[in-house]
Amino acid sequence: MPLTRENIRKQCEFAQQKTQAIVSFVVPEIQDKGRFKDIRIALKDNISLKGYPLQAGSKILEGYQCPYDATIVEKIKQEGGCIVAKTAMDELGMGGSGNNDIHGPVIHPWDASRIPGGSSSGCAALVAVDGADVAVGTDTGDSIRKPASYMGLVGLKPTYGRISRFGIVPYASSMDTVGILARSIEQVESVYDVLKGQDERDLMTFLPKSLEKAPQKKQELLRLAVFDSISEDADPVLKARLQKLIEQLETKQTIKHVQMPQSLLALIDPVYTVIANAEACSNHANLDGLRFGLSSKDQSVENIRSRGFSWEVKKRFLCGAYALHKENQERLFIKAQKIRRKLVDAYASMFTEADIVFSLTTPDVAPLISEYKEDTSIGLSYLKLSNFSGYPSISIPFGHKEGLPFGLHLAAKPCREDLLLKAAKMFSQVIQEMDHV
Amino acid sequence: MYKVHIGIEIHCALRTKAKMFSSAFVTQNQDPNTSLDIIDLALPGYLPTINKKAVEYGILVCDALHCTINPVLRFDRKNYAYPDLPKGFQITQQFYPLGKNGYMMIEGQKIDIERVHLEEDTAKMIHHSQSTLLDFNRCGTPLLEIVSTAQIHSVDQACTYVKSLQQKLIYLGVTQGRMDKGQLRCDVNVSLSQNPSQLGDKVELKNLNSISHIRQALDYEIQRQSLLLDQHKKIEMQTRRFDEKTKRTILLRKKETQKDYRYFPEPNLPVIHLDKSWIQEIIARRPRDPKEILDILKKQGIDEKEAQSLLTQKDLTDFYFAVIKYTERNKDVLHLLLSDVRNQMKSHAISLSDVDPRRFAWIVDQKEENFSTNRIRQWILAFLNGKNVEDQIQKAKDEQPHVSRIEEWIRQVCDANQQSIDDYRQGKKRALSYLVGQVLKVSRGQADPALVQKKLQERLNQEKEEAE
Repeated sequence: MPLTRENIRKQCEFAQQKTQAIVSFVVPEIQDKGRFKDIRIALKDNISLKGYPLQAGSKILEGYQCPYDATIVEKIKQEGGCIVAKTAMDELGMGGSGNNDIHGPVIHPWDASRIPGGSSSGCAALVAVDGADVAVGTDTGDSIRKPASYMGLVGLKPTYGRISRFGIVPYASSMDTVGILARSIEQVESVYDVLKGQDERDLMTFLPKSLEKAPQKKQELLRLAVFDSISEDADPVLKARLQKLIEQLETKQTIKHVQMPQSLLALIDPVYTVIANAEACSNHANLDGLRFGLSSKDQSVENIRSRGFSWEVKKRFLCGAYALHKENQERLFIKAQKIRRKLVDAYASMFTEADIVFSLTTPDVAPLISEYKEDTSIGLSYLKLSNFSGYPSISIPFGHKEGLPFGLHLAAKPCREDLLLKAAKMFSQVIQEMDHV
Repeated sequence: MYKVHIGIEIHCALRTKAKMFSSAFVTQNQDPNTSLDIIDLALPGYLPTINKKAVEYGILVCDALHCTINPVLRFDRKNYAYPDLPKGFQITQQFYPLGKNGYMMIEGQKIDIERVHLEEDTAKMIHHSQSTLLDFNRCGTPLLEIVSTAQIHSVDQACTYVKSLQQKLIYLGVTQGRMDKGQLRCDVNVSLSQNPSQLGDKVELKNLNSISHIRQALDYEIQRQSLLLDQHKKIEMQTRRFDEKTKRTILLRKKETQKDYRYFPEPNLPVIHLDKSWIQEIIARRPRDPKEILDILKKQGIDEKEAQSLLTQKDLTDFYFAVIKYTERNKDVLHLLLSDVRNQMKSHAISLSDVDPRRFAWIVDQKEENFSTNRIRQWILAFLNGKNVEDQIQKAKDEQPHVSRIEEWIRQVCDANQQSIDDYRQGKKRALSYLVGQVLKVSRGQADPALVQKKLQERLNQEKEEAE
């Protein structure tokens, strides 16, 4: 279908009816040149798009209109990308249910009684129902990969620092990573190629000099390892599929098995809770209604912030501030950083003999809304290891259980998106072969 | 009597082009809220960058104050809420300051300097009766914080410390250092104790905009604390401001509890390992400090008092050295600078950066043509005010009679005024003035009076010698 403003609008409206994924309809600029010229792109509503409102799912940003473009938006526009929508998200990225106080929940396109996953919920839902071809969001703990798994999409979280965060509302600065969602690996790859790169406005971006020019080794077999510790408590259907995959792979090569101690894995969530919330409460200290956003002439900053944030977010801020308090810092924040270091070291050691470490992205399909609570099981919390370490990872469609999708998670060493994407394509091939046998 | 312990904290605004963590330009006189980048208003999605020049300036200061320089550059967040702090935190260097364990010699005594670190300035708040206005132009300006230990024991020493440090910073070229413009801010901690080796409870004094304010504030505060201690009352830890009208210090806020700023490393700025050779290069290129310049001036035969007078103004000193590149009359240049130029700068708000040193030197060299000092001064003044003096000078040269003509007129007048010559020889000085007047008359005002006087005197003295 050719790209016209009318078609795009129709597709978006249709998608909106099904998913409630869109918070702002963007007037599409249809270009005739550039690598993205025929691609409809959706942006998570924490990404600055000049001239459009940005709320990041929070009441405190009510009325704020972006006076500038994020670096990634500049790149998209330069390549002729057609931005079609700003999408819904959990408030300030803090949450994984796809629900939000100000515009209601994003609806899972195949089962409205289930959560779509989050916080890039709108992104994933819109791409899943073809309201957009590609969506750009963020992943701080699992926010690209989890919804990708629940909605049968490809979701890439690149190496931390490969894509600029300038112009994007932060959550936890040391873990925030721009991610890409699409229905195919090739599309994710083409978007990643354009978005990656050093940005002088984000000092945490870098050019991996040694690795960019890594000599193109011959078609070597990728060394694969399966992350055993993760799938112990997974749903039997998913577990069985993983086992089948391993057997299929083993016909062609040896698959290593790697682990991390359960006691260490159990610390992922507490460490994340401390570090992410500490960074977040400091990051959002600029949201006070004095220069932009929710404001009222007669009300104090305290009043505005009380009204502007949900209870969930306030709870997280309190937690973060508490961990940074002078009396607590040593045993909470600093301790958490030390444990993070240990987790990262243990994670990295799994890659000494393997190029790719794979596992189930989520232990089950999308949970029912009625049963949903913040899940701290290792089967989900392990996804945060990618953010602690900054290593790149991707979720690709793996299978279905009772009609609902679930994904396969692949991880690689820093800056080896080349191997990661190569592996993703290879695995997809094997998965297809599995189903045709 | 009580021993006085004074510690001084200086915030120095660095004269970089851009701000510390923002790409916006640092401005002085500009309309409010016109020099801003995204981070200065802390708009959603902002990220900090690092101003390399500010780091260079910081290194220069650390070296000048004999600090150990930390080659690993790290920044931290100081979290607190205030309207002049848009991010809700200030980026500073709490855990790893750029320099530490330095010192400055003040009149033979070593004053230890605890730390020197980089941070950013807040916005400017302008209070009105019903509202407060915020100007974010200043927000993000690079600041260097210099903290001394409480080893200063007298008001005089405190003032000398600040003055010396100010001069040092100005001569390093890192700041303009105007206290009245807020480019150099001074907070002073003062405590008294009976036991000289112990520190008392300290009081912080803020809002000290000049050296004389520092002096007056300290004088008052020491007296205030002495009285309390005499009455065996406790000194409450507090912050006081100086009121210049009443010359008293006034309570601003009490310090019951130490505020918790929840310091933690800034996650958006990478830890930077500064190349040691880069640091060395910066230090090697450092400008000369006032003492070194004083030595140079003395070697040029300049009187120490005059040299010190010149050194009180860096722009004047810089200009002096620029001018003497083009002329050898350095003493003439110096005298002009210390008198007319200095005065003109003050009264007419002239900036020497707009004045061409080469042309200035050329004017001074016109003394060669026997023009009087007075005339040179007039031309210099005109030149400073933007007038084109080359034409004037050329005209004067053309009109100026050759020396031989002047000597001819003098001979004429002397031949016709033997009486006056005799009077002069008998000590009547007025006779000389009369003769000068006669020469001017004969030359129809073309001769330069000072030159005529000089030549007349020469001739008369010569004749006198010959006669004896």
